[in-house]
Amino acid sequence: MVDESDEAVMGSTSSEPFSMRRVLKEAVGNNVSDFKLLVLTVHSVVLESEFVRIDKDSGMAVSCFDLLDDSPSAFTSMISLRYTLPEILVNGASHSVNLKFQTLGHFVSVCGSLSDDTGSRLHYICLDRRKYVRPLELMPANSESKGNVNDEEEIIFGKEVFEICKMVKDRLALPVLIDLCEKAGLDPPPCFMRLQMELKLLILELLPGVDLAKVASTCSELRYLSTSNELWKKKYLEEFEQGETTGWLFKDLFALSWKLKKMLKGVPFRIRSGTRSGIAGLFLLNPPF
Amino acid sequence: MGERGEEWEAVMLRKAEEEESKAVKKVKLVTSDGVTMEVEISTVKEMETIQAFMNATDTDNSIIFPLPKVSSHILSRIMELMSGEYDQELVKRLSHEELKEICMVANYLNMKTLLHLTASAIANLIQNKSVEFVRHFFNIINDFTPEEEVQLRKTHEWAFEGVDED
Repeated sequence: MVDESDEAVMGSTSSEPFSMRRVLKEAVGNNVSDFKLLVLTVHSVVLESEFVRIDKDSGMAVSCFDLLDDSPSAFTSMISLRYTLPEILVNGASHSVNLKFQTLGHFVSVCGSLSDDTGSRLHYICLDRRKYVRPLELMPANSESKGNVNDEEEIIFGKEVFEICKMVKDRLALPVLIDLCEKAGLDPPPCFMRLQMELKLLILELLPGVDLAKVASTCSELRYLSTSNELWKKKYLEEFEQGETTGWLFKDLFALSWKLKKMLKGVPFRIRSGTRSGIAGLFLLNPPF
Repeated sequence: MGERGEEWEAVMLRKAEEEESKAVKKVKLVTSDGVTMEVEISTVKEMETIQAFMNATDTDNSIIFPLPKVSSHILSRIMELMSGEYDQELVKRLSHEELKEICMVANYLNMKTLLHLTASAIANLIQNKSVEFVRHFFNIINDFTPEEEVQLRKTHEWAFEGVDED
């Protein structure tokens, strides 16, 4: 069973899909429909933005067990889910946000707004089933077989999962979070870490590879954001000035090239911009894996 | 007839003045702390978020644009950076808090040059620094278990040599 009580209480700020992995594993195990799979995906990202799901009538916190129910009577093409923040529940207030999911051909649209204010802003995203369902189905299995260097499929599908997380967080969860805080008189999400993933990614892109590795060690969100193979490919090409290389996990390649370079130099050193060498050319002749 | 001509001239002059005042139309930006800053339309050109709004409304009246997420202090810093043509030296003089704030505002107002400048400055600041420094800089809460932390240090060992003093 999916236990999401941890997320609700801890209020994880992570965008690493920990709870998503668990929810998806359960969903795939239950063989749920494409629509439900997307609903559960959005649900897990929303939880990671500190929301808790509440029952529409009682206003009490509820889990996602009912979403996993695969009886024919369960929702098939439309559902509304309601969320609030733990702080609001504690204060006994009733402010909440509503997410309405609807099927439109190949797409599932999700519309988020404040549930007790009809004039509030609408935040809308559209998810393409053809694009996201397969990667999401494969994700629980993929994450267990990590370290499979030449698994191109994992790299490609990882990108889709990353993309859907980013879209849900930046264009749905964060905007409704800001609206809800405003409505409930809470401080808007304050710290830099709650910023759009876009901005964090921009800063990560501007860092040298060695610093990216350090930043990845600060917290789970940044660890997740810095796993992108594309990003590491860029860092690798920047640092070691290699030609087009494919089929690698570039973070590992970077680490190896870095260590090798250090070894050859014999002394601890740090590459400052301007000093570069083509050490990884060696790998092309003699792949280390 | 001559009198008529003068009257005509006066009308034309007034029209020309009106045109001119339209050309230097001002935009009023209202900050989170309630300060109204009047800026020239050319200043707003780089703020794509506001520009898009102005293109959509196309009004003759002076435009008032509320910026509920921007304080007057930060807005005036941004104006300084803009008028100083984004001088690196000016960026260096900003406090860490100012830098982070300005970066967020640049992202919100879609100011490409300023966004790139501040994001690069932040990337430079955290370069060659310890994990603890980066956590402190971004107010990051360490959510790793001790085991995860050990594991991460191990896999990233190669990156942990020779960091600067915090």
